[in-house]
Amino acid sequence: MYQDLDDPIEVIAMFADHQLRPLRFKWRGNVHRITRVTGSWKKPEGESIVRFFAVVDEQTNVFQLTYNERLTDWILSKVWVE
Amino acid sequence: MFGRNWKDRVEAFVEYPEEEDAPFRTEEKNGGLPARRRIMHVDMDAFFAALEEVKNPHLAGKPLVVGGAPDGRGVVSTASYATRKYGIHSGMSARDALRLCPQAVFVGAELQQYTYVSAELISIYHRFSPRVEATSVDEAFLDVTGCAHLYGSEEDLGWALKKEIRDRLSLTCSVGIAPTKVMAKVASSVFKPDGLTVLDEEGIKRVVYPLAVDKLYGVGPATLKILEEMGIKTIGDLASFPIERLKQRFGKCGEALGVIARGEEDSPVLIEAELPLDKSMGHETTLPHDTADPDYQKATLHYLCDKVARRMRRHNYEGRTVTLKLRWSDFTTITRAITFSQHTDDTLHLYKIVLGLWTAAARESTKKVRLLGVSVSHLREKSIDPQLGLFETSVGRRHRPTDELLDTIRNKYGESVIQRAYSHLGNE
Repeated sequence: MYQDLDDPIEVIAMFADHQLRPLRFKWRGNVHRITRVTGSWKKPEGESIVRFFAVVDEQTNVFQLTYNERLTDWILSKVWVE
Repeated sequence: MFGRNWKDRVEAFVEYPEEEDAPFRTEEKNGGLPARRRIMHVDMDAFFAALEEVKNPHLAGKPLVVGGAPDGRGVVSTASYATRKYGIHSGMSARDALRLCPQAVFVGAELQQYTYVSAELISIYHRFSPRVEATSVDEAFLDVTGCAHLYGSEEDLGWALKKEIRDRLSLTCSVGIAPTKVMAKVASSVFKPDGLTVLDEEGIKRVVYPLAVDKLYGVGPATLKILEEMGIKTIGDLASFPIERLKQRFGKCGEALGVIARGEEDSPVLIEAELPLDKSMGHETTLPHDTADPDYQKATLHYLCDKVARRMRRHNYEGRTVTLKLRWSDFTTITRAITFSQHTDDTLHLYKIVLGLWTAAARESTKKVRLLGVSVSHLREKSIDPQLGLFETSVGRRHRPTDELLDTIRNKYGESVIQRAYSHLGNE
């Protein structure tokens, strides 16, 4: 099942080919290197855009990251817990 | 965004416009000769579940249910194919699903993603045909008349589209190609998942006619019961049944049923600009717990009215028939409606109307309430110059500055950034 969170995180991301792609993030002191982005979508929030990324790290942990363009901040919004 | 109710389309194709009014003139594209219509239906396989499996490798191969939680009032939105063999299907309670398959994994629906991917699918469809009609988040019709030669054959066309979807989105779909929309939809259901079925007139007789009559788009439980009483069990039975007897039993729809069973209906694939106006707009909600608390119910109704009115204003609609839906804890459901001569899109005006309906309906039972819904119909696009009629009151427009202010804030910062105080109780 997924656990819903709202934790601010630090993210290193790449802007290339007209796309934004997170590469790694730090959560609760641990750095997670993203090996795969398994899904990405966005939704409008007023005049701004909120982007969502489903990612898998090196330990095959699954997370959902959220990027708010208006606030320019990243949130860890979900983590998969067995 | 999506196509309209089946009953509307049945009536629409019976009164299909003259050839010169048809939006898509196949004769011109075929050197003046009438082109044989070829319609494709694309049906994504267990769409929500498939997207969740793509997102999360831990779900691969596991029986998966997407929807509400089984420990609450959750409902199954989609079940993966690995789960369906346990008898789990869309619409059943999540609690029942868990009972049928205790090892199933339940995940909540990520509707924003599904809508986003659905839009990506539509952009893929447009690479294969300029005429695309999305009828739901995971189904669409494409008019592929005269397109097969670009790919070599219709089968190659179908495989090319399936490959594009698989390569871009890692998803599978089932595709049907046939002379009509109804037959294309039946064809896509013949082999699922990841199927491709191409039918000509002979293929319809061989593959479709033996199928149960409720496989036809638009034959629901009520119609099925009547057809069975008439001795009609298969699509072939319906196709060969005398039209006059169908008309006697079903009226105009009876003739339509016979026509679609024979693969003769010619309802066009409608692009977005050709779709008819929405007939109604509404929202309903199942309460977190059954309640007899009138303040809680009224606050919920206020919240629903705010959502409906906001959505109407966003689409530039106003309506004059207001309907309240109320379901009690024993699942008894009633609707109460009232129609006015004036149209409205005003939140508080709508709420006052709904409150009147609720006050009368609530007297019918002392049971707790489980679900509340509000909808507005008899919609029209708002006129550019909304002057009041001579005998109209201004009650429908008194609260406009508040509505406009809230709309402005929500347009800029998002829907959840501000709420009316009374609605907040109903949005918990």
